[in-house]
Amino acid sequence: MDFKEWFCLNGRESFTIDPKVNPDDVRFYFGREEIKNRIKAQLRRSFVEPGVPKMVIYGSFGSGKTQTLFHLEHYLQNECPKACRHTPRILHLDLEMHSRSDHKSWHLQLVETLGKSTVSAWIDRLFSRTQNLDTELRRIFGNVNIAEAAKNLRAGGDIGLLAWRWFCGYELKANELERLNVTRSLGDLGAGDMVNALVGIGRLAERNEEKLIFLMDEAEQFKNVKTGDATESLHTYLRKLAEPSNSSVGFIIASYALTLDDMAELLVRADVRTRIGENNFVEIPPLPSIKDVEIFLKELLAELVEQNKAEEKIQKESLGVSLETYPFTAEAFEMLCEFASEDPTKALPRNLIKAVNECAISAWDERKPIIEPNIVNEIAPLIFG
Amino acid sequence: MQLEYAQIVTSKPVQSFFLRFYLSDFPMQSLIIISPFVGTLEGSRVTLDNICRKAVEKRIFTYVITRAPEDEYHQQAIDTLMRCDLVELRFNESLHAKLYVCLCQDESQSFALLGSANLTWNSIEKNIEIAMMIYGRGYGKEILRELSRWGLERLRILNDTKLVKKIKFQRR
Repeated sequence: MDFKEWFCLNGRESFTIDPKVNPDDVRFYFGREEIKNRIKAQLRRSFVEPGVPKMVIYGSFGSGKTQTLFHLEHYLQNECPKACRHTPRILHLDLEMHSRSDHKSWHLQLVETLGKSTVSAWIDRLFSRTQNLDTELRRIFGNVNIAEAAKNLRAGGDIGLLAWRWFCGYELKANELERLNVTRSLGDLGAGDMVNALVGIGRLAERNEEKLIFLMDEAEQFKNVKTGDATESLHTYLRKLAEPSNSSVGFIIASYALTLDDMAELLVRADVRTRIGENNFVEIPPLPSIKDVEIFLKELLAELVEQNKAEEKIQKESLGVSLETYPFTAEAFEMLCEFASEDPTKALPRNLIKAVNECAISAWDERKPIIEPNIVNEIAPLIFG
Repeated sequence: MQLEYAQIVTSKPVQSFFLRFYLSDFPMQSLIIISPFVGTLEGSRVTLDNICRKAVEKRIFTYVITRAPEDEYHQQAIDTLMRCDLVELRFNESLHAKLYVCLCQDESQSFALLGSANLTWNSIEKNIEIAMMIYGRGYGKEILRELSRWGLERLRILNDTKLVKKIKFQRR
């Protein structure tokens, strides 16, 4: 018998939750009804026209920011608010910034995440529905250069690739610009130029019944940027993206930060905060009370343990534990909740999941079918101590 | 855009990994050592004793999976590991993989080494070894997650992986 069978795990090898391994894990948002409902309410409001989500979530390492992003993606794709009249096109990216990264780097990451094939397909579909693609593209992008480059995305081979490189913000040579029939490279006029192109792509998505929403994780990476000019250009890029006039490209940014002041400064400058809105800066705190920890763990166990199998095992082997806390005995479960709540800063989802997993591995080592208090007493201080 | 998340190391890969572990001062959470053979590394720039001391001082939980020792040098290393409270030690006789992972509080600081080198003096000073250092940036993050899951979960719960020593921890 292996570990999975030993603890009646439901289609997984351990108690770990990771949407990147089990895509179905995006459903989970244990023990945090209040924060979940608050964020969802904000999201619903943000779609009221003309609007799109613009949100920043923050919290400590292990507080569940990444899981929040995945869960919101799941929410938007399955229960999209009525106010959003289009199908959300959600794009995930882990931001990556170095000491000299500027707005061009950010723009490149966003556009590359979107991908040439997606944008080309949107233009193709538009072409099949419109009488005059040139006019339509100019209307969508509001700029002759961007419209010309967009038109060239439909072309195969070199030209299509060149057009995509233009959208990505690469510096093109004079003869390459001439081939695209544009007068300058994107970004020659600064960060605002690039945001205009991105927002134009957002409008193109809308014409294809889709709404572009970027989920950007690890925004603490902005702190890596050490050059003043680069920071300013990133700030300008964000400010422009956060402008009320942008109702086509949504974003939810997640950053490690214990408080707002702890975040990369460019994310919390007054002009950015005003545009995004104070209510859209949401803290993902540790689980506030022992009751929340209990709910979190019970919901986790109910999802990860195959209930019928566990019930059968409990009865067959007379384990004397309730299904609600299986594989923990009631006393061990209570003890784990107490350990986890002792220091409120450590009552984090990542720590709780790790504790359950480590307790189970310890029981497995001793070939014990259930987790008793002595195991929790041994493991919990390692994690919460 | 630079996405440098992996690097081939041909010169003393194990030493490169442990120098990075030993000299870095960012907060670390766990160290995973998977190596069929382990030595005390006496005479090298970072010894097994140095590694254990850092683990204790900085409260880094260290998970070691190796084979049961047959040679004297391996036994001495096991003795060192057995004395270290923050080490969990397991034996698996089928082990051939060599993997070292350092998990940091900030995931982007985490790093791993996957390659041919055992944690022995010979692998540092004598053998021709090759390994890939992976950093918690870009695609490297995904690889690191997968490697740490393999080391921390799958390998530890294999039926023929036997627990030899648990982590002992006293609350501060």
